[in-house]
Amino acid sequence: MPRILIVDDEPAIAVSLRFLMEQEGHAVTVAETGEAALTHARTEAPDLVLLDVMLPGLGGFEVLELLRSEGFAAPVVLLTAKGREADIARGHALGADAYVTKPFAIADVVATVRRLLPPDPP
Amino acid sequence: MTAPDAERALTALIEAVRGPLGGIRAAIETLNRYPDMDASVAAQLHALIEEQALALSRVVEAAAAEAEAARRARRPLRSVPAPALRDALRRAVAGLDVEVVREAPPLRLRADPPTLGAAVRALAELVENAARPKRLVLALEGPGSVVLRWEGPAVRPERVGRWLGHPLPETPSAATIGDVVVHHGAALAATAGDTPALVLTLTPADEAGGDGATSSDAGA
Repeated sequence: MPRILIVDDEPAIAVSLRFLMEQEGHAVTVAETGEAALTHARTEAPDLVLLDVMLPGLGGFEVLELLRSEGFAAPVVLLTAKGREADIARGHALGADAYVTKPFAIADVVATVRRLLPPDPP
Repeated sequence: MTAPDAERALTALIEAVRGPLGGIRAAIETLNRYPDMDASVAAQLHALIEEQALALSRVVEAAAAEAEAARRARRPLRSVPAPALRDALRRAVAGLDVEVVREAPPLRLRADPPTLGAAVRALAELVENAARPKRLVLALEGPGSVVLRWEGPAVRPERVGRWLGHPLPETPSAATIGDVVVHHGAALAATAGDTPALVLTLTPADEAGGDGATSSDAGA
C-alpha cells in the first residue's frame, strides 16, 4: 500500500486530502508543520509527499530543499497559495515534481498523485 | 500607494484568500464526490467549511478596511497659503508641548491640512517619547518644509523610517504617517546636529502644475 505524507496546516485541506488518499487506497500520515514533515519523511520514507508551501515555522520550500539535499527521491507535489511564476519556478528548481495552486480541484490532485506514484508491482 | 506597493498588497490579498478558499473548495468537492461518506467525517468537513468561510470573511473585511483607509488617505490636496497651513498645524498639535513659530513663507502649498496635521501631531508625539526634548519647535519654512526641530538627542534615520508605519487611528484617514507623506508627494528626512530635526518637504502649489483649486481656509 503506497504511503502518502500530507503536509498542510489548513485543516479543511488536510482532512479532505487524507480522506481522498485513503479512498484511493493509500496509507496516510498528516503533518501540520515543516519540522514534523521532515521527521515523518525521514522516518517513514513515504512514497509521495503532498507539501504545502506556506507553513508555520519551516516553510515548504525549505522542507523540499532539505529533503532533496538528503537524497529523498520520492515525488513531491507542492500545494500552495503562491501562484506567481517565480514561485512555481522556484518549486521546480528545488526538485518538486508538480506544483498545484490553491484553490485546486481535488480531481486534479488525485490525478497528479496517480501519475506520480510508481505503478503497483504485478 | 505606489504601483509596486499596490502589486505587493494585491499579491498578499490573493495568497490570503487562496488558503481558506482552497480549504472550502477541497471540502465541498470531497463531500460531493463521496456523498455516502462516514457521517463523522462529513460533519467534520461541514464544520471546517464554516470555519474557513469565516476566515475568508475576515480576510475580505480586513482588505476592505485597508482599502477604505487608503482611499481616505488620498483626500484631494488643495492649494493652501502657508500661514493658513501653519494655523492648521498649530491646531493639530494643541495640547502637546510644542512651540509653533509665527513666521511662515509667502507661498502656497499643496496639502490636505487635516491628514497632514494628524501626521505632524503623531510625529511630534513620537519625537517627545523618543528624544525627551527640552524644547520642541514646529515651523513652516521655505520652500515648503514642515520642520520639527528640538533640543535633545537626534533620532536615527532607521527609527524615523519605522515611524512611517505609525497608524493614525483618530484621523479621518485612519492611515499611517507614511500614507500621508506619500499622498502629499513629500519626503521625510531626519537631521542630526545641535538641534536635530524632522523635515517634511511639501510641494509648493505653483510647482505642482496647478489644479485650479485654491483656498485661504486651511480647514481643520
